[in-house]
Parts: sequence; structure tokens; C-alpha cells
Amino acid sequence: MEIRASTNAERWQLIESVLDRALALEDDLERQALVADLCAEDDELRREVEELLGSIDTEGDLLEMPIADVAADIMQEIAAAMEEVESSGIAGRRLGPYRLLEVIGRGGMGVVCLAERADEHYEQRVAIKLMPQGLESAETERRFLTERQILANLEHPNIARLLDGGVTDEGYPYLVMELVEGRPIDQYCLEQRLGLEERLELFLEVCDTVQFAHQNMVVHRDLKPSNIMVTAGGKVRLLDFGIAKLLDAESTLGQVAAGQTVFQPRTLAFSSPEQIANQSVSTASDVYSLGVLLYRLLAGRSPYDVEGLPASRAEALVRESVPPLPSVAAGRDHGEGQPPLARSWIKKLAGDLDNVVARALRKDPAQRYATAEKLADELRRYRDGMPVLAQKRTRTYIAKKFVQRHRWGVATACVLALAVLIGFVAVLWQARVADRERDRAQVEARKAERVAEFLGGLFEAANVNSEGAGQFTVRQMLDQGEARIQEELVDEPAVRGEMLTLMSGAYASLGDFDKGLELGEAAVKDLRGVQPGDDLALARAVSNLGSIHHGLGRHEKVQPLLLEGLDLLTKNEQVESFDGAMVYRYLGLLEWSLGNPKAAEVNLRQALRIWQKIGREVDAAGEMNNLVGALEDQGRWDEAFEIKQQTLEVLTDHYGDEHPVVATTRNNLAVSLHTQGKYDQAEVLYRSALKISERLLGSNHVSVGDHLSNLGRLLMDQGRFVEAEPFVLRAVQMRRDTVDENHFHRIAAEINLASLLRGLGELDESIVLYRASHARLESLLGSEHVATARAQSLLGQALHQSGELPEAETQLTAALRKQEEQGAKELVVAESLISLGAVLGDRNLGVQAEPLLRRGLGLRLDSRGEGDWTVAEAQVELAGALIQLGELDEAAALLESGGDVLASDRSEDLWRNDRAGRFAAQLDGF
Amino acid sequence: MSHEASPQKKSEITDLLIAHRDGDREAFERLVPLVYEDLRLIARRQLARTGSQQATLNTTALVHEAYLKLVDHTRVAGSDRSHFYAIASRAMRQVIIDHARKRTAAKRGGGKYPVSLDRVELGVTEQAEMLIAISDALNKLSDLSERLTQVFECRYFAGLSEEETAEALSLSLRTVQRDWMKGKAWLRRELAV
Repeated sequence: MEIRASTNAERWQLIESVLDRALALEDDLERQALVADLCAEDDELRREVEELLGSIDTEGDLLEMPIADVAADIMQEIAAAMEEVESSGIAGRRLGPYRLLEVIGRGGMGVVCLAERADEHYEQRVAIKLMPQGLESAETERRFLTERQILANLEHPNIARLLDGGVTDEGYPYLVMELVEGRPIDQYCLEQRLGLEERLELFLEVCDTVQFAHQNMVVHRDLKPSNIMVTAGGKVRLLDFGIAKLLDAESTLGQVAAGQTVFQPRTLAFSSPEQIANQSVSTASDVYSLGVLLYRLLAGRSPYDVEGLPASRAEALVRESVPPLPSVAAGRDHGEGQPPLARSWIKKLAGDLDNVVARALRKDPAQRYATAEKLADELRRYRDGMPVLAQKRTRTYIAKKFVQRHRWGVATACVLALAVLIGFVAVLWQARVADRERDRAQVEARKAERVAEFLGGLFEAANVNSEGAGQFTVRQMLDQGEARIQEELVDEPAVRGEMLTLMSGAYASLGDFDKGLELGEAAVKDLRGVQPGDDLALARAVSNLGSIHHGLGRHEKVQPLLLEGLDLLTKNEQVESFDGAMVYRYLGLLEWSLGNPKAAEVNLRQALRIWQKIGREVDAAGEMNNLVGALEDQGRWDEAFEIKQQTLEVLTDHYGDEHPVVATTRNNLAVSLHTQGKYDQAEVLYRSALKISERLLGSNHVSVGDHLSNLGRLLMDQGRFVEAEPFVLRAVQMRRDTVDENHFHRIAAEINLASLLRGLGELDESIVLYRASHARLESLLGSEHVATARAQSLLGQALHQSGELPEAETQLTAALRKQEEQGAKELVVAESLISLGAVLGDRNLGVQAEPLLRRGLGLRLDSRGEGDWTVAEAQVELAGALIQLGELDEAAALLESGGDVLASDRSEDLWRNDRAGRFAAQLDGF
Repeated sequence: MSHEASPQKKSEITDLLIAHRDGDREAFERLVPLVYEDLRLIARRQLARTGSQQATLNTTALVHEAYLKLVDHTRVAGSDRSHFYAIASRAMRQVIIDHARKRTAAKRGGGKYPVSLDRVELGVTEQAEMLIAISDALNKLSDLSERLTQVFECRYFAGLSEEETAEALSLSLRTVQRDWMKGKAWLRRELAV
């Protein structure tokens, strides 16, 4: 006691310094030794430190639990005390022509009152929702009114009409709704003792209604029994459509951290995992809530028993655990005085209905039914005795579906940096440019309320994914936004100009550079016409336009625009800013595209310096990633690799696993390792990048697509096709949903899919897909481009495998010529050399095959070394040619070393592996 | 029903926040009571929204929302938001402790050590006593290290994540993780006596 009493701040510093050093060690014994060492001359110090260390590892006591759990009663009391004040003074109030009568409910929407319209003309009873959240400004109010209008237009016999609405004198919005008298659907089913089939019919009606709203771009966001009423006449009436969003509108402005909204009204038991995680909400979120409802109606209980659990535990339950199948849950004790379900009822649930519900309840929105309609279709199939789709998801089935849905549109000019397809790896850092442009759009959106008004709404439904129904692609949302801009901002060129700049960037990120260009030019025109001009807005607009021209490959137009932007910024002493850094970034990327990596480096370093100066560490890290590319093009591989490692170290140290840029950097480092053939290390990094991105950005983010593509490619490069399949398929799905067919992300993903199909033996489909990808690249880049040539080479390989030797030879010969003329990377050339050699060998042209195969083998040996799978492949092919030439000793040696590697490898590329066996058999024949 | 911060108040809070950023340590102490008052008002609205059943305080959301309501965003930078969180965390602690003290007012002498931290279910009075004990112990800790105290306030009373806490206090993530461990260790020892 005395000792502790005398502990003062100075003494504490000493204690802390010893503690810190001890905590840096993992091992207990090491810790003890260090403490003993550091406190050798101060026993009291040692005792204090040891005591404190001893109480660090006290697991699971009250300090480790959230205060809301530990002191739940206290927190609820504070809550209740405050609420009391809120309810008083409502009855008798007038709102416009309505008089409030009594409070009839309280919920996520605030207070619901019964009210009557009392003017001379007629009497009408209505429900009025008083929202407890004020409107911050004229702008948010305007947005509220716009959204309200959208909802008021939602006319459907099963949807309670939004009749009116307004804002109270104190600035609180209220909504006047049609008064619905009925029972919540779950209670109705119980009270009316509805059978399984009747319940399904009722549920189908709900689905159809939700689908109607989805088609009108409204997501409900808060579907639950109390919002799904059944009238005495048995009609379904849905309440509160889109209201959750109205309430939340303000919070989208105030997003305080990535993915974290201030408040989302919701009912935990019916909320989807993505809602709980505060990730973006889409139609799939409503599908999830419908799944919960269906579960309840079928099994008589909820999938998750969250009642009475602390919020954090309940959330974890919904996010992480998989609920029992309805047929299992239905057999358990119900409690609550409900009659147990009949055995015959439970039997009907097992199988199809179990599967349908489980699919609607998937954690990953992309894995659910994409729309309420699909869910309904599935139930109708069940009702009509047809097999449901939820069950049949075999590999070939899915892959075939992808191919069936595959459609190529009309080619439009779009030349992005296609470095991507030149090498082995689907995604390089340049891809990031477009993404950043969009991220930037989002950052800006938060600044300007008007921008948020449009973009916030636009991106909300952008998450819709899977099954290709694609009611709302990002593209459609943008198109709608554009229409609104043109309509609502007719007389406000200054605002319109800023908006158009952002929209332009967003289109560019989808790969539609033509549209981006159109809007970008309109933006510049708007802003040039404004008097007095807004230099900074104009600077942003011209820089954006420059970046679009860069995307289109119109290099001559890029520089003047960027320099004008730089001038405007200089004039206003704003070079050392976000916009200044962006200008330098694009100047750097321009130089890089023009083949001046040295000049690129200078500009990128400028950008880097500014990012660091203005404290944007993440952008700085991003710039390092760009810089790496410029260095690699100067052949400074080691330097680049070192920067990647450094960047990763710094970022990991700073953010741990908690920032998307860590994922990007891991991905980029993995790309280096991947191309060096260090597959295992690369795989670890890709997987961790994927995990981080999925967790932080949601499973549909473009970065997730990058990691998926890369990981898929990596696995396929090792012949691990079955493992690669889920990654490749998800990547393709994502690209098809988000970018048009000219976007190089998309093309790269399609090519990966073709490779997958080849590996799985689906040769015809693989060839169709390769041909289409090749044709697309040809029209975009010209037939001589290295990327086009690579696609052609891959096509040739697939043709070979399916036995089309003459065409395979033609394609591979052409590809090889182009690759050599254009100076493609060595490993890419090697691939064509070996593939062509193999074809020639199979045509009994061993003399011609041998030199090609020797060169290919040499190149692979140089960069990969003995023991690599691709080296082994080359050795085996060379052995095949040598057998024809009678050089049996060398052939035997090659077959032995190559065959061993192939046999021990994890490769499932059966066709390639079989060739070793075939050649060995030939050799034995001699 | 109007609980919006008045323009004057908003402006005052924003001024102080900027002064605080520019190194005026006193500004912190002056800000806490201003924010305290509004936290209660904002909490009331938040509660009305979540409905009466099982209503509880979501302290994290409260702190985030307080920032949106109380600060003039045209005048401050992103980093100021972080500093505001530290202030709001202190205010949050006060809101909670004030209520806990009311709860124990009838029974004199709440908040005495030792307190057992191992129990899982606490009665409401025990909850109040424990919170008060923690807060009293924190007062002692602040004599030794204001930083540890602030980290604890952010993490425990406001429910901020480690990352948010790091930003709020301009500390590295690693420091916050260590401080959070050390703070809890210190409290465990203190409360056990």
C-alpha cells in the first residue's frame, strides 16, 4: 500500500517503460527474464511490474465486456429516463390539416400516431409517423422531400400508400400514411391456423409486392412481420417501404468512417449480415429478410434466437452462425404456448424448402437469390412439383450457366493500360487508377451535400449481384443519376459542373470512357461559363477530363488539361493539396503510358511528396504502388520489390489488417512473387488480401474482384483448377455485373474463365470464350498488341488440347511472331514457344519442334529454375520431340526429371500430365 | 421537440475544437460540459428511434452523431473529428456516472473498492457501484497518466474501436492496444484492493 501510494507520474513512467518492453515479448519466460533483468536493482519496481503483467491476462472479466452488456440495466435506465420526456405532449397537436389523436406505436421509425384529417371537405383517419431526427439543412430537407416523392409514387394495391408528409415547425419530418388495419403476417397465420400451402401463397404475395418495389428502385430495408400486415379480408399490405432509407438519408451524409453509418433503424432478428455490418444495402438484403420471414412461417420460429441477447452477441450470432434448417428447427420445442408442428408438416420442409430458405439466408448477398422474384419463382417451382435450383449447383452446371449468359456487345473504343493481359497476372497496379478516381468521387460526395444527394442514392443499389438478373447495375444507377442532374439542376451550372465531374469519373471507373468523356466535357463547359469562376472546381474538372483522355489513350489531349489544372491550382496556392497530388499522379501515369518511366517517376514522386505532406498516408501508399510500376519499367525490379515490401511493412505496422490499402499492397507484392514463381508465398498474400478486402469493403467491391482474379490465376498456374474455380467464377460474375465488356478487368476475368474451362476439360466452351476475348482485344487494341497475342496463344493451346492441330498451329505461330516483334516478356514468349513446339511434335514435325522447345525451356529455366511445374512441362514436351528424333538418352533424362515434378505436383491439369505418361510409353516402346 | 444545437452553440463548440487542435489544453475541459448537455439530448432522440423495447444506449453511435450535430463541418478538418471523439468520450463517461450516482444516492457510499470483476450477472445497484468504482479509480489513474485514462474512456465508455481511439487521441494503433491493456491491468489491480 505504501509503495502504491507513493507511485507518482514519474515512477509510473518507469513502470510503463518496463511494461512496454515486456509486452513486446510473446513468451512468458522471456518476459520474466527481461523484467528480472531490467528491475535488477529495484525490487519494488519488479513487484509492481509483475503484478500488472499478472493482471493483463485476466480473461473474460467484466472489463473485457462492453459496458452495454455489463451494465445493461443502468444503460436501459438512462434510456428510459430520456424517453419519458419524449412522449409527452403529442396528442392534440396539429400538423397541417391533421390532428394527432394518440400514440399507437413506437418503433424504428420513431413515434406512430393515429390522426385524423379534419377540414371541411372530408374526414379520414391516417397514421402519422413522426421522425425523431431533424433535418440539418435546406439541402437535406430537399432530399427528404425528393425521396418522399419517389415513395409517394410507389402505387401498388398491396403497399400502404404514403399520402403526404412535411416538416414540423421544429424541423422534424413526418409522414402521413394510409392507415392499415390488420394483423402482422406471422400472427395472422397462427390465428387463422393456415396450412403450409396457404402460408406459401401468402408469402408469394409478399414476394411479388417486394419485387414490384425493387423494380421501382425502392429497397424496403426493414421487412419484418410488423411491417407486413394481413387485413381481415386476407389481403397482404406492406408498410413503411423505403422509410428506413428516408430516416437514414441524413446519416449517409454523415458517414463517419468507412462503412459506418451513424444509425440504422432495424430489427435485429430480420436484419441481414450486411446491414448489421453497416455495409451497403441492396435488394439482396430484402431477400434475406424475406428468408427470415419464410423461415418463421414454415418452422414456427426464428432462425436466430436473439431475443434478450445483448446487441453485440446477437449481431455476432447473425453474422457468423448458420441457423438450423427449418425442418430441424420445426421439430424442436416451441415454447410460447404454440402448438407443436405436425410430423407431416416437418417432413414437407425437409429437402427443397430447407434448401430454398437456406439460400435466401446466405451470409454473402451474392450467394442469395438476387431478387424477390427469383425467390418466388423457386417457391412456385416447388409448389408445381418442379425441381428447385437451390439444389443443383454442380460445377459444370455453374460453369455452363456462365457461358450461356456470356454476351459480347458491340465494340467501342476503349484503351486502358492492358499491361494486365501481357503477363501472367490478371491485375496490375494501373487498374487502381480508375478505382481511385471513384473512391475520390465518394470522398467528394461527402463534402458536398448535393453530390451526396445523387451519388448516395445511386450507389446504394449498386451492390445487387449474382444470378445476372441485374435489375440495378451501377451503370443503371448512374444513368438515372445523370437524368436527375439534367432535370433538377438546369439552372445551376456551378453545381451541375461539379456533379458532372464526379459522374464522369464514375463512368470512367466502369470502363465507359466515352460517357465519361461526354460528361467530363460538359462539366468543363459548365464551369468555364460560370461567373465568377470557381477555380478549384474548374481545376478538378479539367484534371478529370485529362484523366479520361488518358484512359482513352488520347495522350496528346491529356497534358494541356492537366497543366491547366496545375496552373489554376498554382494561382490559388493550392498545389499542395489533394487535387494537386492527383494532377501529378496523372502526369506521372501519362509519362508512363508514353514510355517515359523516368519522367513518370519524377511526377509520381511529386505526388507522393504531397500526399505525405498533407498527411494522406493511404494515398501516399497508393502512390508508392504506382511508383513501383514506373520503377519496374526501368528494369529496377529489386528496387521496386523492396518498395513493395517496405510499403507493406509500414502499412501493416500502422494499420494491422484493418485497412484496404494493406490489402492492395499485399496483392501487389504477391503479384511480384507470383511472377517469380514463388507460388506459396504469393498465395498466402493473395488470400490475406482477399480476406481483408472482403471484410472491410464488402464482398462486392472491385478490389475483391482483383484479389479473386489473381488468386484464381495463381491456382490455375499451378494446375489447381478445382480449387481455383470458386474464385474465378466469383470474379467473372462480379465483373459482368459491374463493368461493360470492354473493361479490361472484365476481359481478364473472361480469359481466366476460359482457362478454367480448359483445365476442367470443357474444351468447346473454353474455345468459344477464348475466341470472343481474342476478338474483343483485337478490335480494342489491334491484332499486333501483346495482350491480343497472349489471348491468341491461349486460344491456340485450347485448340491443341481439343485436337484441332492445324488451326492450333496457325494461331500459335501468329501469336509467337507478334510476341517476339513486340518484345513481350520472356515467360510469355516461352509459353507460346512450348505450346507451338508441342503442336508441331504432335504433327510429327520433331525437327521443327526441337529448337522452339529448347528455347522455351531455356527461358523458363532462367527465371523459374529446376523443379518448377512449368519447367517440367517444357522438359516433357522436349522429350517428346527428341523421341521422334531418336535422341533417346536425353529424352529419358528429361522425362525422368520432368515427370517426377509433374507426378509430385498438385496439378490437376490431366491433359498435360498425361502427356508425360504417353511419351514415357513411347520411350519404352523403343 | 427541438434539440438541435443552436448556431451560437455550434459555433462555440467549433471554436473550442479548433483551439484544442491548435494546442489549447484548457479548451478540452471547457468542451466537455458543452458536449455533455447535448449528448443527453441526442441520446433521447436516438432512443426514440430505436423504440421503447429493450432500449439501451448505443454509446458509439451517440458519439458519432454528436459530432455531426454539434460541429460546424465547414470549418473543421477530418482530424478535428477525431479530437472531438476524445471529448465526447469524457462527456459520455459523465452522463453514465451521473446516472449511476443517482442510482446509489439512496444507498450511501456506492463506489467503494474492492469490486469483483469476475461476476457475470450484476444487479442494477451493483452495476452502478461498479461503474462508479471504475470512474473513481480512473481519477487516480489520471494522476499517473492522462493518456491511459483517455484511452480507457474512449474504449470503455464511448465504445470506440481501437482504430477510432488511435485517431481520436493521435496515437498509433499499437500504442492504443498497449495502453488499453495496461489501463485495464492497472484498474484490475486498483479495484481489487
